[in-house]
Amino acid sequence: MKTRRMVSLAFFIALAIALHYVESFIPTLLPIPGFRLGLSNIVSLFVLYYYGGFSFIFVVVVRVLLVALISTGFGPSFFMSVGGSLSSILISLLLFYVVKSSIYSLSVSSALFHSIGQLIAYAIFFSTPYIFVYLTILGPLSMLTGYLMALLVKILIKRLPSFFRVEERKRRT
Amino acid sequence: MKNRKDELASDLVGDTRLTYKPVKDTIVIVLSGLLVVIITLLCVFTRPRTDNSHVEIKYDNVLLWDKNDSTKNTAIEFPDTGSKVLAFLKTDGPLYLGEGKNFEFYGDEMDVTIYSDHSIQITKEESPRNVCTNMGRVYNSYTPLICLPNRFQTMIVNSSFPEYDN
Repeated sequence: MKTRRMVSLAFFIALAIALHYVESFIPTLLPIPGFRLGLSNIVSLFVLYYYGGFSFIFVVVVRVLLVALISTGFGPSFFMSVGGSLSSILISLLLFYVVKSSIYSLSVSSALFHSIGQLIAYAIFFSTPYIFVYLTILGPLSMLTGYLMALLVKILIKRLPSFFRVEERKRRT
Repeated sequence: MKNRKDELASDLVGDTRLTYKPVKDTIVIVLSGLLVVIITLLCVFTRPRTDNSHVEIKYDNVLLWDKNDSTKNTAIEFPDTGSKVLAFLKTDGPLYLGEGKNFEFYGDEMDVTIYSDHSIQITKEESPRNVCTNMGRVYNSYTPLICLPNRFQTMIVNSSFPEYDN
């Protein structure tokens, strides 16, 4: 059972990195720097609802490290993604375990806090607080994409193949 | 022995965390939206003011300083009232260019006007597309007036918050 989970999580991390890469080929409608669809968050959200909080943190942290190692490097973009991931992890766990809200508001607010965390990291790194003006554009857009990702995850969970359900049932009993 | 329907009902598909909860979710989403509005308003009301600012003019990417100023001060202060025209001729101008150097630009003269309300404008220049003249008056410190054919760059610089390089 433990090995099974480990292998599944490794697959999910690989999937998240692949989605992160594929996403760079998808042209966004608006040419806004820093705006992404966040397709790899589908995997994170799915892991949160399927395997629980610890696996969620594990997948997100390892994904950030590996993406930095593979493509973006440990520059300012790494600090920004670390800041964004940490704040979105915090707000997700808060909403998941304390507030117990549904996947929609969880996704929306964690997408928003991802942007806020990124901007905080940027503000610290370049020592300018005025970057937060950018949240005016980025905030509503990230909330929208967060909602879209929640819809996708719900569809995904609805159509899971049956061999995935076995593990979930065993986990619960 | 459970049938297939019960199995489905017992796993994640029927989980209440996947259905929209009208009260809780609306509250969370509205709070998130409010956060965006609050941060936006904070940014708008604490934005850098141009009260404590000066003008810097670059030619060929080199900052120019006042001819009469031995301290090589590159900060050009705004006038207290009305407006002030800095007129650059081909061989002469109000700012120092370097020994034996001449300004090279289209036409005969280039005028930079600075106003007492802390705004700048290029009032006279000649260039193929007149980009910087068409930009009109600029009031903020993040829009430089750049005239590439004439190799001039004019911008407002804020003295009240630290500059940074990136």
